[in-house]
Amino acid sequence: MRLKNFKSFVNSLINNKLYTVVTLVGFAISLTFVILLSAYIKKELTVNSLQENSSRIYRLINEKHAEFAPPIGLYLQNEFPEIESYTRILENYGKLVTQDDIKVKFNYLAADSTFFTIFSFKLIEGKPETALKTKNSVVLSREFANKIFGNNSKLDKQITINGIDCIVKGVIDDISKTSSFEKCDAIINFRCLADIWRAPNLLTSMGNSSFALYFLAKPNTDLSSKAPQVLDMFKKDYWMYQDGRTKTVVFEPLADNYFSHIPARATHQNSKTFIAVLFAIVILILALAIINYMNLTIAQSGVRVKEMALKKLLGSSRKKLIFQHINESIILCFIAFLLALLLSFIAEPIFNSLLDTQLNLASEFTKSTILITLVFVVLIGFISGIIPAFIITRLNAVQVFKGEFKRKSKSIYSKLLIGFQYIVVIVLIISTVIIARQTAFMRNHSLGFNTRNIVWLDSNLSNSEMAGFKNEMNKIPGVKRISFVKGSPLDRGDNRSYIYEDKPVSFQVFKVDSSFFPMMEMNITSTGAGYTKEGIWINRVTVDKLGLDPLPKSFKSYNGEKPVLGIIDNFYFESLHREIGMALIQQMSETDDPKQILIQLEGNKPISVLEKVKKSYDEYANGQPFDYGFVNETTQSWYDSEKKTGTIVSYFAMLSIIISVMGIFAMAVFYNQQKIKEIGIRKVNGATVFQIVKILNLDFIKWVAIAFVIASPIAYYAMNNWLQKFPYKTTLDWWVFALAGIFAIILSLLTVSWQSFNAARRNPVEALRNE
Amino acid sequence: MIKTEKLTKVFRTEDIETFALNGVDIHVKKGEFVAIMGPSGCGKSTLLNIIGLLDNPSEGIYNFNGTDVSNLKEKDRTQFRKGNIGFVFQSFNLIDELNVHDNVELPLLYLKMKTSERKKRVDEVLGRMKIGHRAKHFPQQLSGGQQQRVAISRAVVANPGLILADEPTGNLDTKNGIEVMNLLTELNQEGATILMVTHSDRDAGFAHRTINLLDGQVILEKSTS
Repeated sequence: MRLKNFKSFVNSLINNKLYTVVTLVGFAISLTFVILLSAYIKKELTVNSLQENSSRIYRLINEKHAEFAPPIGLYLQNEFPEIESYTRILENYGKLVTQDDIKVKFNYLAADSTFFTIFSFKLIEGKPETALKTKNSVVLSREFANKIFGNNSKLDKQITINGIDCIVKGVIDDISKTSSFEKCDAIINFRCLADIWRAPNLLTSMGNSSFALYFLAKPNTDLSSKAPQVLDMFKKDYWMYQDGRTKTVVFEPLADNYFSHIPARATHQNSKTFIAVLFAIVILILALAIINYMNLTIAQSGVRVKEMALKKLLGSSRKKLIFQHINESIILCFIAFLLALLLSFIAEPIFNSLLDTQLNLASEFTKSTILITLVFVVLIGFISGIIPAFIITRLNAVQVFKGEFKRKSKSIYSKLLIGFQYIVVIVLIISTVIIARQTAFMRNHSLGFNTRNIVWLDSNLSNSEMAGFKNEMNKIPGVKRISFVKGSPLDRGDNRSYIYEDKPVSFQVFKVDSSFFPMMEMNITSTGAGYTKEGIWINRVTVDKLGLDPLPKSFKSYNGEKPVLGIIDNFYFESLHREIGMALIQQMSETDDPKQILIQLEGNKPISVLEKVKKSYDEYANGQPFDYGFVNETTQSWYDSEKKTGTIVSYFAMLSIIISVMGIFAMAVFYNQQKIKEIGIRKVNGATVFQIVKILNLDFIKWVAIAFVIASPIAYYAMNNWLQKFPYKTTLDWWVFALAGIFAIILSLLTVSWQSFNAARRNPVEALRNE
Repeated sequence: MIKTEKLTKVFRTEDIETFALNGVDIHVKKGEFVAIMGPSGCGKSTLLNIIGLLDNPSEGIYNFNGTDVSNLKEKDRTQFRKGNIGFVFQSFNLIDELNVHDNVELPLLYLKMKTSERKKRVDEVLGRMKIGHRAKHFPQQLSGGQQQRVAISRAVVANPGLILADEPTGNLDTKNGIEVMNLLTELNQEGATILMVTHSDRDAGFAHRTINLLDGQVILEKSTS
């Protein structure tokens, strides 16, 4: 760009402060979101890409989950020469004691010794080949190792895990940073599980199918094509497939693990839809920003059109003028990008907490990203500049000097673009309200049991300690009731599958003591069967699904025919994301150890009561940690994902509102300038200020109304689709749509009215004199 | 109908005070056709704007139809203007986005007249001005003469007692200019009071009386008939 052109561009920016500020700020805010979201999307799409064997690693899955029995890995390796090695994986919690008698609860992965050769995790101490070689070897995460051992060397330290002696053979970095595995404190040898669980047959039994299974294929083989053969074998030999309850088997490439629709053990996952939505948001923000820029540039072009016309008269070609315009828009875009970069660094921590992620923008400054970004900025500048450049340079110089440009520049483009922005705003407002309503609907929906003033506590007590602990609790003022359970609505209980009258059925089973029902205030209808210790309760879903008598006196349970003491009104034992399934409640036997303790509090000092509970618990817990939570908080956390989506959509709605308001505000200024003559004429002919304001505002409202008509079905379609995934959902009420429409209209009225009022109050004499 | 006493209008900027009108006394009777003449910047248009209630004087008294309207608020000036005063401008001042019919209808809209009555009046006046066939056209599709006829139609459609014309032939060729002056004369003969600012002696010749201004003061008043 020639220096003189640049100077005149800078002058025009300085002379049109409103235009400059609105354009730059609008562009910068939009690009901030684009930068942060793009960095996040890139990060999510490259999870597992740091794994050197990524293209050769597969996880075995079926249509429901990714869990198989321990012998399956070896069984398949023996059958298929394509398999180089395999590892079984399970995540769990354990109790760890060091030689210095430090006791902690920790989470671990149980994996085969091949884990560190299949996956490429860097060991800070120890060697990949030997780290998990012996049954009792353990690898600790650096953070956890430092926590229990301080800065001393950790190798060959002795620890006990759930009473089993183990030796530290390695230290690694957080594995969740370079893979889709969840963060864990330690990795133990899979074979050690048999000891920890005191289940000697674990490794050879096909009964327990709850372990993830990863394979490393030999180079240049096609393991995934072997799935049909595996399925045939499973149908013959594997109980899970023999009775038809499981129907498919797939070797899922590691690259797909992270976005798998299958719930999986030990891995964190993200939804491809969510990433696609974010990507769409990025594109939409860019579109809005570009549209705003084009809009503003065309709207204020009257200011610069004379300069263009003069240059044309003096011999400049149209091509040159177009080029000058595009250059200007690239420069503006670049300045906005620098501003956006600054804003991105400021907003990074907020963004990280919002998306529960760990972006590090500073680490993204590599040669390739800088180059890509520069190309991107030039491209955005080019796209933003080209349409205004063609429109502004289209008129011939004589027309401009005769003042015809003003009329022509009142073109429909700008209003179409504003209409588009309002479509986005209205769709987003409707979506925000509906997502918030669905989340509130789920959070406030009655779960069929009492959630108030109840604290759950992970239990380390044995059955022999229950009575003593209960006694202690009853002495604490503020403790109303205490209940021991093995499986509660908070942890879904245990799953029991068996054949009921030739049909496979699946039950969630809860074992509770006599305080459970009065505490949970569940509605129970007695069947009239006489009380026995063997008696059970079933939920109404069971009665309906299995077509039982309304009040059956007995029921064929997984462990034989049992008397039914009552029918429980349906209660949710997992979030409202899933339909209520069949549930069976048994009474705890004398040999059952409680998994959880539920404590009902009364009074208004829960914290001081809890302190006393902790003190008593510590005496029983052998130094094990006091893990607790409030039942209502736990059930509310079931909907964190919707809350997150809602927050993101509302942030984006706010962004689009800001961009649109800025755009429409600047448009109103320029539009009213163009309307000065008309306003003058109308006033001379008797129009009042109010009537003028009405006309000016109506011009904008008309476009908001059109946007509303287009936006409503789009929002309806999108939200209806979104709600389909919920079995229990809120209604798409008409008033939500009306509300969004009214909001958009009020928003545009607030934005343009002041401008309209000022324009309407001008003395018509001035306006007509200008003509 | 119009009586001003010591009418003064001062325009102030940070540094200078300009007297656009400096003690103007004029008197226009109902049914008169008066031309105001003078060189550029003598205050002709300012006087017309004050008489047309588009602006207030800085000092002095303006009496319109027996009412002192010197210091009316804008809202009241608008009320007073509606239906009583029609304007014709040199540059026509038509709204580009409205067609001929809608441009002419404008003053009636603000008189809260029924749609049917408005249509009747507009059709009537367009017929009289011989541009009824152009009712659906937009201003930019018309010649200058036709545009000024539309502007005059708009000025008279509400049957105002007073028509103010600011250089009505300034943008027209001789033929169209004379046609416009004939139209104004016709309107005057039908009873409208006309006050016209002009540079043209020919146009002033159509008026009953000429008032000459210089530097914001009346320097000469003479009858042309």
